Amino acid sequence: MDKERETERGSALSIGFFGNNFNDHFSQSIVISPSLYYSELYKLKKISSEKFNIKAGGMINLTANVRINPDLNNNAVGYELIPTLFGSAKGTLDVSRKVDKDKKFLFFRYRALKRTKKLALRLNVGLINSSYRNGYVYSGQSFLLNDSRLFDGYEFKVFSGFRMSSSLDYTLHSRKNKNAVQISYVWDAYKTGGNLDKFEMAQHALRFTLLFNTK
Amino acid sequence: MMMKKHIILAVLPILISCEKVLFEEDLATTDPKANFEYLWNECNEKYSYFEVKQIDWDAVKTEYEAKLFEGMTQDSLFNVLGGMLTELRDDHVNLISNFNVSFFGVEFLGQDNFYGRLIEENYLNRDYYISGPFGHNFISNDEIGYVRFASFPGTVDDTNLDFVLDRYKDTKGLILDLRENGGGAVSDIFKILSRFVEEKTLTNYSRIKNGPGRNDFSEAEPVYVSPHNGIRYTNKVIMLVDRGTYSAGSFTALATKALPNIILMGDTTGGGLGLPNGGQLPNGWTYRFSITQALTLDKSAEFENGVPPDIRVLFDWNDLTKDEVLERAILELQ
Repeated sequence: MDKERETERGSALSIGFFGNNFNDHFSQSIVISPSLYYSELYKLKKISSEKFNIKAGGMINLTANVRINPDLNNNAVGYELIPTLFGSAKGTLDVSRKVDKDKKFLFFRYRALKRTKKLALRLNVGLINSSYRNGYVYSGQSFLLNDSRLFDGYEFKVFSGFRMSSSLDYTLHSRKNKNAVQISYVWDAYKTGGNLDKFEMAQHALRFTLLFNTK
Repeated sequence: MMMKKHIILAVLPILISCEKVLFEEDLATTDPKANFEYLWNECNEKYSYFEVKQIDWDAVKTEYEAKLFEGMTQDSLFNVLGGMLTELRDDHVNLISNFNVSFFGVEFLGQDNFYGRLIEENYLNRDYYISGPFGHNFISNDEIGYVRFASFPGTVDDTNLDFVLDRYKDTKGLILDLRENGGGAVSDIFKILSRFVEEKTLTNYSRIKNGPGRNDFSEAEPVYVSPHNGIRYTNKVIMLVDRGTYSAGSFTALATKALPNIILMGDTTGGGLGLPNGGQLPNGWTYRFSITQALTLDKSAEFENGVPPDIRVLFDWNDLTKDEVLERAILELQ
């Protein structure tokens, strides 16, 4: 992390188990979502201050979903790719304790040592939303052709759908070195475009990150 | 600074509440009319055999919609929706709830043409072999190999096929009995057929729905079978079929029309040449129906109504000492 420029690249994997019980019919599914991302943010000097750093930039994110729902027969396994180019903004507030303070919690007295802490909110809005999904009947026929293909009958749609994500990060820096720990609440919501079999999904995740050798 | 801190903490819940605006309303409902409309419309736009079967789907809607009424029970609604699907005369069409499954029963369009115990007692004997999904033995003075294949379980492999075909390599011919084979895994079809071709062979075409119109299909794509690089059977083959030969069984029967060394014998198959596709109704029930068409080499979809045999033979239930279909196959191979 840099005050002037922030580059981030990485991957994430989320696995969710879902159940739905409606009208005495229970369905369950497993959703596995790996994603790759690359992000660049630059400080907006005119509106930033020493205490409040505001950055803007973008992020490329490729998210895949593998969905397993045995109740859907031949569609029991579904998968799609959701590539997105985001426009991003991030505000980082320095909430550091500059001097040691004596504090009291209930009957306990303690000394709060000075420490670098940051609270940040990042918002990403999809500028180019796209999807690589099944075609009209949500199934392919390649295995009937004796020529099985993974993305059989898939269609790539650009400028279609909508995606938005955000993360609220609380970063606590070590007093002894340049390392830090970060706790984040991450929210990601997206829907595909068109009028047919739209795909909608939201993820809420609590993320714990170890940061090494921060600047 | 406290103000900014509070703003940052407040923005996130506001964004998350945007989910409600971003996402569409949940379709979940038990309303009979809503479920009827959903199912009828899904079929209307995606079912692949309306024209081949000459089904007036609008007339079906009028007939079955009139059977809906306020406060009807789940069972009554199931009978209306299931009855509507039965009008498609297709066993790849089902309505599935946790208390019933609707079906058409295509095997009842013809007489029962298979009596398994008679074959075991009078032809196979008790020492027949079971190699994976194949039950088999020598018959007719060890001159012919008989192979019973009752379903396509997806477990056909090189080991069991090699064993079966090697065992009967010196016979006059082979009988593959697919009567009452209701289908299963498509992959088994090509593993079996690859043992009976000597060169890459075009067997049929397939096309898939790609729009809501009755004739909105993809281009017809060719289906080829290539010879297996190993043990193959080159003598004459008789494939036995009947009305119970369905889905993957019918696909196999369809392919034999392009394979000169295989004769199809028995009764017309049940059809089931459309790939069934699954979905869920707003009330939680699930359904499936055909979304593809398998086409003959002259690109006709008519075999959905059943693949006709090259030689038609029916079982005589007045004489339970012999299987007329099997006897006719033996005669053909002598």
